[in-house]
Amino acid sequence: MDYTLIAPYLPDLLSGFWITVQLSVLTLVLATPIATAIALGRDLGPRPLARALAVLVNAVRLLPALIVLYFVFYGGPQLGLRMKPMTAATIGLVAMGAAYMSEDIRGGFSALDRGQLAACRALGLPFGHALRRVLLPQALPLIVPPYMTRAIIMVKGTSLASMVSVADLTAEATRASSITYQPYVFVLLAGVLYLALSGVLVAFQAWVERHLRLRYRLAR
Amino acid sequence: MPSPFVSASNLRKTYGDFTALDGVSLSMDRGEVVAVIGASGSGKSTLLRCINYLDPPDSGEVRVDGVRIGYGEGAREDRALPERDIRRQRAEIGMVFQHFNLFPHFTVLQNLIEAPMAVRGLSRAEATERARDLLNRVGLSGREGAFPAELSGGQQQRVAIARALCMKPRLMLFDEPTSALDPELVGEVIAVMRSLAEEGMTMLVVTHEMDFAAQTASRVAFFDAGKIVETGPPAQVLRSPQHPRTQAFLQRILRSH
Amino acid sequence: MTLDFSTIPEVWPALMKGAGVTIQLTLAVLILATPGGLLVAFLRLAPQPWLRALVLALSWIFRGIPPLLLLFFAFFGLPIMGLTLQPLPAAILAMTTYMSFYFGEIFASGLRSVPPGQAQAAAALGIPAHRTLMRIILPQTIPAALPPYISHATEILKGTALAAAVAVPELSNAAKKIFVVTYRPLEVLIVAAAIYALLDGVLLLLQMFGERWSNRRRAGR
Ligand SMILES: Nc1ncnc2c1ncn2[C@@H]1O[C@H](COP(=O)(O)OP(=O)(O)O)[C@@H](O)[C@H]1O
Ligand SMILES: [Mg+2]
Repeated sequence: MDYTLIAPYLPDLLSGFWITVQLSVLTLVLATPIATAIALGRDLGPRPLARALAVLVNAVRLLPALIVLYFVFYGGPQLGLRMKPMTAATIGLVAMGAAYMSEDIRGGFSALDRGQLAACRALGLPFGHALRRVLLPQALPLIVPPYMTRAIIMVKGTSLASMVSVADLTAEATRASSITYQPYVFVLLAGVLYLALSGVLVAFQAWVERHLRLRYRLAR
Repeated sequence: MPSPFVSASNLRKTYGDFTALDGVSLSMDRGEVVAVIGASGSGKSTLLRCINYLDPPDSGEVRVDGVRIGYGEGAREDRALPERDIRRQRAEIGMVFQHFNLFPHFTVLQNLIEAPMAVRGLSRAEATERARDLLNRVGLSGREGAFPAELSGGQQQRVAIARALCMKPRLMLFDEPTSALDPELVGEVIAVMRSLAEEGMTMLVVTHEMDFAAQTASRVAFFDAGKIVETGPPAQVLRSPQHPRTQAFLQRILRSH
Repeated sequence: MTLDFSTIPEVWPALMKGAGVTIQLTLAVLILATPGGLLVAFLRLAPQPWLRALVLALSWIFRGIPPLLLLFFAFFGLPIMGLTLQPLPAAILAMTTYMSFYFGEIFASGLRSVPPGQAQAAAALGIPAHRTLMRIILPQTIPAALPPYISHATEILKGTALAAAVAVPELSNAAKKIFVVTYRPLEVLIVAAAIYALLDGVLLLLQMFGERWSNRRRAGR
């Protein structure tokens, strides 16, 4: 292994990592509220909305993520929607992530006793209040573990952005390896960085679960 | 003749092809306790849910103290109200469920004060004072810091009754409040309901407790296939039922006890 | 704008060829990763703590790194070790490796779902260990493991699209090669998406039957 061969590409790798971090945060931050809205729409919304959302979610879940990204990146311009690779990748990843995540969230809500909502309504509590104070606190501990598993899958999934010209960590590692013929170093480095991102999420999950346990002494 | 305190007229409710309420009419005077009996699936719960518009009836009307539930007052009586206003009307009607439906992540006290603060705008101090009074009345003072899962079923149901009363309702609906309880815990809940009746609360109680129906109710209504087929004083409906379905139902109940 | 599917018949054979590679890749990975997963599961429950720890670490690594990176490594990294593979075998190798660890988790929790009393009862009856495993334990893990197993099979199918990155001529790759020439990506992508959905549909049907079968088995316990 020749360090002088590798050193010039380390800044590239770092900037790729930064793009990956941005993509990850952006995808998670945008997909979460959308997924929540989809889950609520499907479980509590009017029938036609629930149906339309179900079709959309299941269609997206049937497709490889790469095809969804191609739709946005290559198909978009055909509809007059020309966008930067980063934008296209974010849209595609958010669409994918939100579809899967909405299922995770619905799973948490479906474990809730229907009687809880009935009790809130019988007391005259506004829906928003019932959601915030009664339904979410009970659903959250059930949602957090699958949500975090999904978040980690989504972070790994950002690597697909490299297939639509985004210079993310995977793209930079690939490029550096094929130029230098040192795939071990670069793939290993990239792998470690991805694992570090997952590690951050796992730590976050532990913190959230502890926080929820303390905040709502769920005695079940 | 004064109009009744509660009147449900000609309520109809269908789920798909299935008719759950097939033209039900029922009126209650202020302070009256009406027991509703009938086989499971006959539509008793549906009637309660239609009365407080948890599930609006397809047709028919419900009035409590002259006000039509789900609709405007006076000149605006033909206008359906938005959910926000129905909610305000619903807050006047307390409901107690078979499975208590207490909020498991709240303490007993939090269960009681949540709605008075959020819906009635009470301060925490006011709500807490009211809640303590009620917990005392249902025999649970001192348990306000407990979580529902730490209580017995009978205690949970008494908390649920106190939670409903904390809104100062004018009418109380009970949906089989003792059906989910172990037999030895039924008595404590019935006792609370009895004292509530003695204080003059207007109560509509779906129940299989024939003792409660016989001793506390002023009237018994027998439900069958979405209809009230027989109604009258307990002595009459329970001892000498006229309708063959009532006779069959009561016989089955007697045999199982 | 209007969609124009008139060029589809012309490119249909190329898409079908791609779909054929996709199916091959899916089946190969499914067939190889299943015993791979069993191996991982047994090692995860091995008596030696160090072995369990090692496999746990490998499992965490292989499930924590993006599959795309692993594919890329198999394609570019292995030749340096003297193992030069064609794109398709390289993709099969990479996908089999990481899918074995995913399956390993499923099978391990399936094995854990069998009450310990079962092995004790078999031991009390004097049934030899390997026979206990094959005849008593494994059959009982199937109901718990089958539904997630099949749902991961759809993940394999969808994951095959990544092999495009190492020049495997599978469906998404075929689609891309076509639309960079025709300049009408939407039509080709819609057709490709429909083919993926159809293949997924087959697996989902299997999953439905599998779940029904599993539920009956579990209810009977
Ligand atoms: N939300 C609903 N959707 C469909 N059917 C319902 C719904 N609620 C009640 N039903 C049906 O209406 C009938 C009466 O139910 P219910 O009022 O709960 O009976 P009861 O309380 O007398 O046992 C039952 O057959 C039930 O299946
Ligand atoms: Mg009922």
